[in-house]
Amino acid sequence: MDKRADDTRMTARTPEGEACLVGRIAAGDRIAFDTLYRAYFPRLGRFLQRMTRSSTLIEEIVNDTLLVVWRKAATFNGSSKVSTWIFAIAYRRACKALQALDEPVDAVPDDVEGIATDRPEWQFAQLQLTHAVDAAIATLPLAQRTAFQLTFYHDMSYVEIAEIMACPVNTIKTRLFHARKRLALLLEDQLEGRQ
Amino acid sequence: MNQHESNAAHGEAQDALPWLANGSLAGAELERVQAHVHGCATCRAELALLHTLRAAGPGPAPGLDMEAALSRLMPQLDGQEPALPVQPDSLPVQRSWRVRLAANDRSWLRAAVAMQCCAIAVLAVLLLRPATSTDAQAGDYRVLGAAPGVQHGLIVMFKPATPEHELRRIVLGSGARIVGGPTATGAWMLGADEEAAAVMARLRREPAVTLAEPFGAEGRP
Repeated sequence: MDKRADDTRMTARTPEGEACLVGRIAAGDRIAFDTLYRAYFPRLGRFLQRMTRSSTLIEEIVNDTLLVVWRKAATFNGSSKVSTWIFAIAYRRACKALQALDEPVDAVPDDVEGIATDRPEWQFAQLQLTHAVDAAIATLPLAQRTAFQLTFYHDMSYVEIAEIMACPVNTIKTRLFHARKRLALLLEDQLEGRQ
Repeated sequence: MNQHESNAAHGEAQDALPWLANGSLAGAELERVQAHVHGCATCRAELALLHTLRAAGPGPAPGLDMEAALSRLMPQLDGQEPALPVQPDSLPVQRSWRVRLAANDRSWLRAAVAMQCCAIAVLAVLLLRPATSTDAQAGDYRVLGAAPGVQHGLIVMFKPATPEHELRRIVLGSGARIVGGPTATGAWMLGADEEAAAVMARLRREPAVTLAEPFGAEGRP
């Protein structure tokens, strides 16, 4: 791509640069849109893979989200970060898509201890902490899972997460508290001796 | 620091640990939490656990093809050009339903006040309609608040924030006197010896008066 596209990619690396991109998208600039898409596809992909295992559905939700960004770019008024705005759209789109598919959005196992003994794939995942964490996070209710991953894997503040999930800050703190307790219980064996 | 303060600091730190771990905590809260964690073994252990969880984060989402997804999306942009900028007050993305329903939201409050005024006007017209055969005897009695000897009545409403001394000045200046009210809707009944039209004209010139209508001869509703 030409020099202008390279310059555009550079500006996408800061919150101010992202806001600038959104402003250009509002004016119909497709290079700016291409840049923002490439910056957010991996981030939204990682975010959404905790909500659904279907790659096709993840790509569809990412495209729906960025299509909303394209159409509504002019409504972005800078009162929040671009990332907060986009993740909020993605979260709403994902909830809607999962409900339409009738997928369980709050998959809570009946028996925590049962996971280790009844599911061979989870036992296999214990071999590596990353896999174990991945499997444990997958057992969290959707709201806790979302708050957890926005905190730990997207480095967002509780204020930003509250805005994305449209709920009070204290609710986010409570969700994280319960998520931590549950993960500590599920990962007790893996975490022992690591700290 | 007493026990109560110590417990409160521990509770605050416990709640804030995830954001201490991800580096998004700032300002006085960061200083308070850091100070507590420094001296609290439980919080330090919890923080270490959170760092471990954070380090064991997921890699790139498997099986996703960004180029293919982007090539599917780009043609869809053709039919959906970006919407024109709108005023922040009307941003649907920024305003939740809770904000829209707030009691101080001007968008629906204006409409509600306008509808209320219309309802009051309709009620005033109903009050002033000519007597029919079924209520021909209505003039034979007087409302309790009507002063004896009053020939012309008016119904008046003031802006809600009108102070008492201003209300008194307006009534006295109009040449009328209060004979009833306020009603549940905030209406006052005035009586005047002179023609109601003249009194009404003086009342309507006052900015604080929102409604001034004749009430019917001898206070008859």
